[in-house]
Amino acid sequence: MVAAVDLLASTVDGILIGSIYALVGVGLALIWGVMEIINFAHGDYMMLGALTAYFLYLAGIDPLVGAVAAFVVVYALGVLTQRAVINRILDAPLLTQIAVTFAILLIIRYGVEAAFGPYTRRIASWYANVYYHVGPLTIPLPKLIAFIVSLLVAAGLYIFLFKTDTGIALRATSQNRVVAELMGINVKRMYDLAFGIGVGIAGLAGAILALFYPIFPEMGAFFALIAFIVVVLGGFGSVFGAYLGGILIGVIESVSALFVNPALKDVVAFIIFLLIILVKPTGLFGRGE
Amino acid sequence: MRELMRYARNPVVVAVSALLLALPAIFSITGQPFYANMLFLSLMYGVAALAWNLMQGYTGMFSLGHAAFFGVGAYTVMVAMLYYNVSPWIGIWLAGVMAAAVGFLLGFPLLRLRSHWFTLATIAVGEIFKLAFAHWGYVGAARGLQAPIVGPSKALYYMQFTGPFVYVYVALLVLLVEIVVLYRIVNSRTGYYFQTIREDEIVAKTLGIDTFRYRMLSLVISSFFTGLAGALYAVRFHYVDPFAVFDLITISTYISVAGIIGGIYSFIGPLVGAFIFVPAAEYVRVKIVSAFPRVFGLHVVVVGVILLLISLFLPEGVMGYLKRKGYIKTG
Amino acid sequence: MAETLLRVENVTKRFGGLVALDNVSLEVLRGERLGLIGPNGAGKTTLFNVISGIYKPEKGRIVFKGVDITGWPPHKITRLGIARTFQIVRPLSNLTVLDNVVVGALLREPDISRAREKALEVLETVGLYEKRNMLAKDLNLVEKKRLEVARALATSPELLLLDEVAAGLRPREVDELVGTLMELSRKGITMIMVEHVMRAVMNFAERIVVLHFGRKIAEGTPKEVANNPQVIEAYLGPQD
Repeated sequence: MVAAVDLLASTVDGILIGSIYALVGVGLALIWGVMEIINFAHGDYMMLGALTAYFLYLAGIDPLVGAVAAFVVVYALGVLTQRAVINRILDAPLLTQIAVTFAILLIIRYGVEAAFGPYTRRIASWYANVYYHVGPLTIPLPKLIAFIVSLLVAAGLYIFLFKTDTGIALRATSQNRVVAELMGINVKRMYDLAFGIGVGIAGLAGAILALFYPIFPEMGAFFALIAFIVVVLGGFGSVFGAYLGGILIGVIESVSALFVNPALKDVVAFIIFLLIILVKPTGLFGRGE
Repeated sequence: MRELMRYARNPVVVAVSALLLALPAIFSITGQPFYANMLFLSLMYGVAALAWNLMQGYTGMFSLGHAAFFGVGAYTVMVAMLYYNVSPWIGIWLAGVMAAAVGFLLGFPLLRLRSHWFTLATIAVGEIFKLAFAHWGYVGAARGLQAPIVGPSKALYYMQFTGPFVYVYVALLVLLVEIVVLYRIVNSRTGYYFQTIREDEIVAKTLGIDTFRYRMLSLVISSFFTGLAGALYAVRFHYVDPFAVFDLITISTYISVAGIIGGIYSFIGPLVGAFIFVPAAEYVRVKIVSAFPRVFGLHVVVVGVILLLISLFLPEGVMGYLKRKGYIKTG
Repeated sequence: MAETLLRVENVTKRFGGLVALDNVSLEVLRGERLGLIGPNGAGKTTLFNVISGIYKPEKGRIVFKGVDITGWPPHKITRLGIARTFQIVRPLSNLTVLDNVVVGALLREPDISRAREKALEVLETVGLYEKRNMLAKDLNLVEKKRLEVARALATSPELLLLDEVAAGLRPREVDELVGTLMELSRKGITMIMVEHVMRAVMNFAERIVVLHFGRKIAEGTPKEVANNPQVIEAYLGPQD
């Protein structure tokens, strides 16, 4: 029998870790919403963000400052990828679109492995071992920071998308590319923004994850998988649906670890995902593709 | 059957088949197991790539998770042999059936997804199978399953031969069965229906095609033959472990890249692609590993660059290119 | 009196707050040529999508040959004998013109070579025989419109839904197309034609139904409909 307090602790932990899943998913959803491209390399941009924060940390820069830098660096890499490669394939057949972003995945993931080795790295920040005790719960400060940062980013993204001219133009582009163009919106610039911000948020998520999670070249594989599940549950491209989906998957994983071997929690998340698309193919919070 | 005979008169097909049949004999005489092994691997990936392309080239469903079917096939041979004393000669076909059954069950949720989302879900399936098998005690968890060495009297029953040569013929046999079956399918009503679904699913429905049924059929047939490819792996190496047979890179990606290089709109293209890509990838890997023994992953970067360049500049693949330039007519 | 082939009974279809079809009823007799007209957004294509099973209506029934087919999946409806064309042409781009039509013919004739014979016949009828070995994507718009008709015909329908097959054609081409369709009608195929091109629908239809904002506002012979004040108002705005 599982004690109520364990259930509560798992739920809280799930929400905290889910807030990271949510950020990775939000980036993927943003790119899909605006460009109708799935970035298969999404998890690897996240890894690049974590790596950026790590190297800055080695240079003596606080990981939280490093996280901001991670966003900037990965954003720039994203815009570069968008202009050099993604722009060429926006109207290409499905096979080409998928093969190209998957090729980018291989190049980034194994390029990093070749350049820096397959090793696992850790950031040991001063707050790495700080815990708060709230009633029966023990909350590690790094996860709490991650959660707060995630909420701040989500709020910032909301303000950007709904309250700024650029954000409104971005949403218009996601509604209808042709109409947006007729309205005088520079669609190519919107694509730069969407791809840059999308992977940038993933990079930032990677950096704050690195506060309590090891960094290694293949870490993106797992998070890309989660981000995908999160975005489907969120309703295929709804940015805030994806955020909710992220929290939900975090909780499901965390709670299921009480009942099955924690190493299999991803299997559980995936089986639940399969069941959900079987019953509701449009995702939990969405109207469909 | 008449169409098949006409195909058999195609000089390219005749030449390639003759060469394939002759090569292992040549190699065994000259005693170069390295090349015979390369030939085996090319055939094994060829079997899988042809199967993969029934979904991709004919039905328009891009899978990057064929490692799931490959792995299930490989494990089926081992489990049947180790736990039920079933000869791999039978186990190979059981592997196809088991992989097809897995494909069928996965089809119910997976076929609800389309385009990019379908592909992403297939990647997830491959990864989840790897994870699940790595924790499943019955199939040896992370250590996998190993076939014990048997004496000469039982070697034939358990398919244990010295060197790669006999396995090349087994692979050729499987490939031949596959080519005959797939060729008949793609030139039947079913093949036409697959292509209609690839081009436009809504139109397919209004032409009276039960698209779910046909997409499922494509998936099941594809997983059957991919399972056979996995069985070839198990038979050849007498050993399976989850990280080898469910690998995203060396199984799922290699199969797709072979198919894309050969040309997805060509029946035989993926086989041609396997014969180009597998030796090239193996060569690159060996060269890079010997040149930079402490650098990991570089050969996968090379695979990525190949995939990127092919997708951007030669998306119709080698066979598509040859057809467009008029060097070949059919295929 | 001829038998009723298709009966649309009180069909309502909504998209969110928008009512695309509002309690629409109509009947089509076997062998009849019905025109379906109305301004943009009147619900004509939506009605086709409901009849052919692409959309399910919120209310009402579709009865074909006495069978209630409401909510059936599209492929079953096609098998029962309803074929359609698409307003925005949807050729199977990477297949040849012939194969596009073969796919349709395979519905009733599973043997490839016999389906091919039938497809060639149909291509002859619509005047695409010479183009049979071209890829469908390389046809021009007029030819693509004809291909839509050919592909639908190849399924041997009893009822053919034609969605703006004359749009974008020059007057002479419209007349040719109408000629072809009249020939098919003489062979006994029942047709409903959604059309903006008045030259086509007025020459083609025996009876016309007018939709406006999802409602049926008029029904009658082409002449009656053309003189109906409500119809004139719907098309031209209020006349003082």
